[in-house]
Amino acid sequence: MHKEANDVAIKVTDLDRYYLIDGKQSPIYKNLTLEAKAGEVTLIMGASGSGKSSLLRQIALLDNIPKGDIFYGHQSVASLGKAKKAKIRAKNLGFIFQSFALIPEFSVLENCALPLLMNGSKRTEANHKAKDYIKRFMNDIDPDKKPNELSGGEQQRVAIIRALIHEPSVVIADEPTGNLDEINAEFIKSELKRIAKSLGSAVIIVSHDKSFIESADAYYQLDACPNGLSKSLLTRYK
Amino acid sequence: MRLDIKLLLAWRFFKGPLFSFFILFAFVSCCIFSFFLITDSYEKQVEERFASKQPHFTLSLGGGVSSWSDYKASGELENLKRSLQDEGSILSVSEFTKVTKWLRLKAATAQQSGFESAQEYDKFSSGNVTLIGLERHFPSVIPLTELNYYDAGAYKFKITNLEFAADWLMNPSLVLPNAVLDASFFAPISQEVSIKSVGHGYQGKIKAFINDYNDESILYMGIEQIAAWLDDDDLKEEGLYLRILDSRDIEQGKNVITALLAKTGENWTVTTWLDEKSKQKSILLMTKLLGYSLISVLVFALILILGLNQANVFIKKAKSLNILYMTGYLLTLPLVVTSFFVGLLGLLLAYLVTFIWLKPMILQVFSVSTTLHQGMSWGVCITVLLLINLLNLIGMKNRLGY
Repeated sequence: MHKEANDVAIKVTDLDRYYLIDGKQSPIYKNLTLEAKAGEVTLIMGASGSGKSSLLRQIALLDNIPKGDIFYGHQSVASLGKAKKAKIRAKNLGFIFQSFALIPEFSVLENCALPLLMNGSKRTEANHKAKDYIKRFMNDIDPDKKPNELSGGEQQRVAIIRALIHEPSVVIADEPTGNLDEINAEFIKSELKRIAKSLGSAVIIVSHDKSFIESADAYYQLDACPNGLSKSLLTRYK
Repeated sequence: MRLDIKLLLAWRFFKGPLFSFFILFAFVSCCIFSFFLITDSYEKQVEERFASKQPHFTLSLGGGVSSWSDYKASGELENLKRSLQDEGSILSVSEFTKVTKWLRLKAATAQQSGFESAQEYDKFSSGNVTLIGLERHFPSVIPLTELNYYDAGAYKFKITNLEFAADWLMNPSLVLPNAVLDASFFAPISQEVSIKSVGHGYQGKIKAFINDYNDESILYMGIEQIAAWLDDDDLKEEGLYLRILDSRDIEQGKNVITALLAKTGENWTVTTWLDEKSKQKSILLMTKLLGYSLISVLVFALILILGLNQANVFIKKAKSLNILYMTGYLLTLPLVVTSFFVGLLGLLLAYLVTFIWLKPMILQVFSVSTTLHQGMSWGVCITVLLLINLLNLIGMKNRLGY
């Protein structure tokens, strides 16, 4: 996978998404095209119901791609099976969610080490690296604590470590500051930007928070698709 | 992702249901092993009881013990025996006594035998005992045609025909010919008689020792002691034992015997060897049907409990499982592999429990000492395990979508 700055890390072409009403397909979006470059923060903005989360799930290979294609580097993934998609997710993707999405049964250390284990690291190696990251980036957090013992800001920082520890080519962040206060939100924004630059990952942020525009290298506006309209309403700015 | 990590994660999230599955599957496997062990032992016992037995009839008088004694005392019995003996299809006629005693053997044996080593009778405290009646008598010639046994089945004494036993010489130098051994139901016993009786000085009293051959419980006693013992009966049945020449003559022989018995004016019951055999076979069939039904119900319950347990965990841990899926972990296969492995452990536990603890008990109950084949039990258990995991896999694929 390319990790040189300004290389296209992920490319979406002519992507469609439908939902079913009374057995009839209605489009959420059609013919969407976008790209995110390594080392850049790409922002996708849109109002509620515009299909941001659906797009994110398709990009993250969690949902099917009935039409169009997605390229991770130069690899087309539309026609891949579930097992191969899972491998790509494990290797190339990092997730950050508004709800933090930490596994409650796992400790901070185990949550952080999980992506490394998914990529075939030995348990001791994974734990060692996770401890190292925790020490470097959030020295104030006890690695043995469970997520429910942490504040929202702390949980999101753990989620960021987990998203980046395996140095993925793409980091997907869905409303990453939605549950945070202003200070923590600012910290997370600057961290994402810094990480994109230092790791050379393409960070894709989906949000309706306009304050992200400032820190984004590129942003797309996704508008709700009126019924029957069959053209892309995704527009690139910057 | 490394296989051990995959399995470890599956175990971590499904510890509860997997442990329940382990216990339940071990229980069901134990039931399956036990069921096949019981039916197998029973079948073997029936086979052994009827395999080498010569075709025969038993005649018993409807009036019970007292009327049998009266009938015998009246001399009518001797006339009947002679009439029966004159029939061409009947090889021999002899009296039989069948006594059933329950859990009294140890005390009774110790009291009556005066045997020095009391602990040697421990094995008689339960199960089947073969009782052989012996008496010193000259000359030491055993007519092979008179060799006769009566087999009363499980939990009962097997008693030699007393008429014949009276003719059987208890002699240290006695060597029984192979033909006798072949004709005997308990072939090795005779060999033991000739060897182990050497050095015993209880002639006319108990000529007894315990025969360990094939783990059978056998007691050799003098005729008088047997007679005294049999008088102290719990359930006593007496009658005539008729050996016939050819099993194909059973029906014809039955008609002839019935006609002869009708002339006596007494209420006789005629039982053929085949009647007894078919009765045993019917019981065996019923046992099998019942066992199969029970196993089916258990397997169904197991699948149901497993499915519900798993659904419960899927609901409770949906969030964590979704996160794992997003990070590239496909749960289905590791969970099925873990579940299969846990099932195998349960199966192994069931095997150990059944064959270490239950098998000796079952074998003692059925007095079967042959090696039982276990292929069927393993086949059924593995099939159930595969079936459950296949259903598990289909269920998970439907529930998770991957």
